[in-house]
Amino acid sequence: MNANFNHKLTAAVFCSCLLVSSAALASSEKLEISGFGRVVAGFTDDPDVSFEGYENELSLKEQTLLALQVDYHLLENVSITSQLLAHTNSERDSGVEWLYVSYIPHNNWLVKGGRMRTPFYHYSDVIDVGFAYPWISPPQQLYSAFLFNQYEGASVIHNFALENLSGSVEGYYGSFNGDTQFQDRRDATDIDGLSGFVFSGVYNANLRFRASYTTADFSVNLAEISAFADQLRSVGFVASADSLAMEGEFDIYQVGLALDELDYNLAWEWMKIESDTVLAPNIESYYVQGGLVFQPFTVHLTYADMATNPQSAATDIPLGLTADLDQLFYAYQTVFARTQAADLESVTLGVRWDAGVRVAFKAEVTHYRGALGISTFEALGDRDAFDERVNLYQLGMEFVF
Amino acid sequence: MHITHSLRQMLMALLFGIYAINATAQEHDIMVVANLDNHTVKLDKIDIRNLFMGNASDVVLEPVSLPPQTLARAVFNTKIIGLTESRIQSYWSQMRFSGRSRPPREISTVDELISYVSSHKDTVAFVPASARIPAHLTVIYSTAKM
Repeated sequence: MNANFNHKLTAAVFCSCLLVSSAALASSEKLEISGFGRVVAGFTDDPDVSFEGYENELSLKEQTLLALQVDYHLLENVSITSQLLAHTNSERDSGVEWLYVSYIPHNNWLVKGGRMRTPFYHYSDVIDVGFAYPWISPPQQLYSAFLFNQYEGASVIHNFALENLSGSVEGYYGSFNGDTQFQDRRDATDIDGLSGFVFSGVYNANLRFRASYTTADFSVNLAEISAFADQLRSVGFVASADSLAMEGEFDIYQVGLALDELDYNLAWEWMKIESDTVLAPNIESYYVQGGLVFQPFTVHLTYADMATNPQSAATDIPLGLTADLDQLFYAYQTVFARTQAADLESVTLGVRWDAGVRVAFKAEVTHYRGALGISTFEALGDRDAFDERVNLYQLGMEFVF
Repeated sequence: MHITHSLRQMLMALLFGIYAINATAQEHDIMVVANLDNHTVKLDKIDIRNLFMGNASDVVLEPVSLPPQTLARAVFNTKIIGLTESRIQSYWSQMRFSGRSRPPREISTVDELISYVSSHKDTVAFVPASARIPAHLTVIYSTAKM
């Protein structure tokens, strides 16, 4: 653990203690403290690229974290929840991940307001709680392709039961001002008018399904790209400048199914992002996963795929007229290429060992095939050296308390 | 189907592990008891599963559970919930840390559990089929009849 992590951890623990002790003064009956953590080590076998921060040497800092959740029940149907997180990855903020008030006006209704996690996909709002899912790294094609994970706003959840179906509908609205993570970079992002709904349920006790829709207006400030686009605009290459625009609207559609039995499980999840800008191009991703349970071990296999729809570069900068324009043409092509997403295919074989009631150990290997791209691989040196194949090896320990 | 059945048998044997030695058939059955005004209520397996997994249900009862690693809970997990204890723990970590719902209250012994349900209206719990329960509680489901 590095000094930075210790510092963040101390700060998080200190904050929690303050919360806990002041709340405990009021009443210990009303207070619930829980938490989760994970220690994850991983490396890739390819020295030419980095992937999700992993390189060709063992790293413990990419996903290792510790979190504390404090629930304080103000009234029988009103509570305050705060989740404090200390992360070893310097690209991730440590601090208050969740802070919301929840109100249960009726047994089947739940209203929440404050800072929460965006419920894009099945595991999006528990992406840091490795204990909740089978993998060490959930399929990157869905869970990392578009990474702003918090919003500030309100959410209303209604639960209902119909014959053999027990379901819930959630609607939420909010905004986000913070950073979006692309590989190892973080870029200032504004998300406005974020709204969505989630329909989820269980049919016949063991078949779960989930469908959701999310829409928002976004703007990302990628400093060096915006500066270059301004430069292009100032010399009259408006189409080229526009093609590097970092703002617009996106829509995300998601559908998922999961079957859980005592001795096996199957899951499938699909999503599609539609957007009118280059930076968040149209993306379609899915995974299929199957697991066999040999209690206390679960062996699982996952195939995941992401298909992107590449945008075309603008053609208003002429080539072959003057040396200066040629230089600008190539500079534009390079910058444009950097904003492009690439397809990504992967196969993951993993094992989870539930060593105790609240502790699990995991090991997994993922074989990836894909090109350099804004949410896939980042070149560490020569861009042409990469053979578009990488294996990622990871070991992890997950716990909850 | 035959393979699945054998796997299930193996799994049951593993789940019960050492508890299975000297255990009678009755110890591998549980009953679900509730503190209700209406003593004629009977629920099916899906209703009970929904109650104990925090899903919406037609009946509104507060579920109370025994701790993990008790035989009655292993039987309940296998015969009613249909999931292993580890899968259930993983499910509750998702529910709790996403602020959706919390696992049932846990009471450490069968006697204390029965006493809690006896004194709290609209609560429901599972107990070994051999347990003695007060007359004012209603047996709403039993695996022994399966």
